Amino acid sequence: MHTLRDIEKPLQTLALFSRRKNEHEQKHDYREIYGQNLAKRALLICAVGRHNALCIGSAGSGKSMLIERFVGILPALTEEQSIETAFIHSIKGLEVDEILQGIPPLRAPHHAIGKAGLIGGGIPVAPGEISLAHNGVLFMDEFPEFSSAVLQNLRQPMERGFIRFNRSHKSYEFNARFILLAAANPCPCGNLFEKDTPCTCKESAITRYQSKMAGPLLDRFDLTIEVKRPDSQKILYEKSPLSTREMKVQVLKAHDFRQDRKKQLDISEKLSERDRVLKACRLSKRNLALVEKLSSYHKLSARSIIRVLKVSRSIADFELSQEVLEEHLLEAVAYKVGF
Amino acid sequence: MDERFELKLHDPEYPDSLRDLEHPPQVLYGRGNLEILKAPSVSIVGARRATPYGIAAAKFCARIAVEHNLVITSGGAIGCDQAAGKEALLQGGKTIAVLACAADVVYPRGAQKFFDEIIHSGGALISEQTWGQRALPWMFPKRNRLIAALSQVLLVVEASLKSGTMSTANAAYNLGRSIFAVPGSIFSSNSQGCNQIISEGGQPIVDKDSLTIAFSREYNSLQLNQMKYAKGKPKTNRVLQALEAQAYSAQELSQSLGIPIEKILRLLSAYELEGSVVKLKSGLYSLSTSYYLKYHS
Repeated sequence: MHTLRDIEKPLQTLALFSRRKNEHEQKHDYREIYGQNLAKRALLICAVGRHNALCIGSAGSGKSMLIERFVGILPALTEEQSIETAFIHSIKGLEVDEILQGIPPLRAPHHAIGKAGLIGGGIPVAPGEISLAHNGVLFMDEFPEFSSAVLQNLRQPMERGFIRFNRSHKSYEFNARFILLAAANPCPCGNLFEKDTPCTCKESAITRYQSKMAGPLLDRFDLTIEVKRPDSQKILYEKSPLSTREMKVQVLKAHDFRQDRKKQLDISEKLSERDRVLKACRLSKRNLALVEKLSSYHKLSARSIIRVLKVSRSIADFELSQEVLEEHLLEAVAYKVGF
Repeated sequence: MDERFELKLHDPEYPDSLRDLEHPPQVLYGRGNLEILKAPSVSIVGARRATPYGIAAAKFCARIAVEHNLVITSGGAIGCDQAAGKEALLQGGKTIAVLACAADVVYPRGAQKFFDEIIHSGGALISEQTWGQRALPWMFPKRNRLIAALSQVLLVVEASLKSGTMSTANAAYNLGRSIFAVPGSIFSSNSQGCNQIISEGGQPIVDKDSLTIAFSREYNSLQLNQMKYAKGKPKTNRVLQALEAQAYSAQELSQSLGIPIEKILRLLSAYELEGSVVKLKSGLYSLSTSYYLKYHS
């Protein structure tokens, strides 16, 4: 690489590739996906709580299809968000029509992408995929193939919602608040979840693979979504699979409920994350004890408990319940991350 | 207590049963109690990648074998073999572990404690490999034929077709040993080997009585303790009933039973907490070992 132009071109090509995918998506509906009630349910919860999820399934299980349709069930961008997002996209010379219509962006960088392409930066400083995904979704397919070094750089923007670059006398800040949906195989050979094709991996290889799957972002994922190739028989018998429209309606209801609830919450005191989540959950004594039991059985770390509580809060919002109840906790723990 | 012994083919203490082999080991190396090689024993084997069902079956059979005062012989491999061996020790019985590596090498890793207990309780670790020899792939089939030969009966608790366990079964068949097998779900690939054994004439072990009778017949032995069946199962709901047949994914349960997926997830989480259900590495939910044992032994 010699000049700026060498860097710009591949960046633009990647951006172009992602954008074409984006156009392709809007025309697809969840109604076309059969036998994936679990995945659809989990994605609904993700949409309500804007949770990052790790989707695990073999090739051909349909994980990409499920994720590509996700922006279709997110609430529309507010005017402010549209302008914010369109601004970033226009810096890169990308189309902004859909964004201005309120459709959240979906970015799907290839796993060979480098740091500059993903995070941004370079000379002159340009926004990366994470900023192009601001107010939208970042889809990282074949997640274990991404360089661990590159992934490390995601930690800070995911924590803070923006990325800053310092150049000699200037400081550039780009927004980067996105929902991360990652997809991966369940084991090295890919067949662990499949009934017809037996998995040929050694137990120790599976354990090793799974423990490294999320890499440096292990504590960033709130849910695990297991996607299995549906039984062909079952496909023929499913009457009417949930459509994008039906799902979006549910998400919007829950979204409004959640916004109202948040307004009522007194955020004057500066609370720790744990206390904030606990306050929002409004757990009864009995349910607090249940949380303890679940943490003990599933050997949850402190961070994992907070994540499970956050997910249970989203489930409760989805069910339009002010308090997080036993059933919400039980469901949340079924999506837990970690092996 | 680390009594080492080496038995040559012509030694009087060399187990007669091994002499049935076409090429019996010239030297049998061992640690522990060599007297135990003369006691009546049953070889219990099964899959390494066992399901909770297989583990439960291994423990179930081991218990009954101890009641009949039989020594349990196995390969000491993780999964069904160790489950049977450990259960035997738990019930106060004795175990022989036939190792692919040398009798003084610990393989699989993590079996140290188990091997030490075997020796302490009056059992033995034996091998045809010289002292210090590490486990190499070709030693496993060789070892399997020793397991098949050593006992009068080979009991297979869980095996898929074309597995190491099946090769042990074939060896037993060729030696004219009696073969018992625990049947499994016709949809479970983990039990296809066992089901095939039964369909080709192996003795099916379908409940405690059938194993007791089969043991009594083979060994002319009397049962020492009477174990009672648990009186009646609690009212199980449809999810548990479905899982009794085989392990399922949450998605499958939701579709077959027509129950919304969120209700299924909640039920499964609750059952996990109470110990009736476990989630397997394959992502499927299965009844737990303790559930099987609680309601069937």
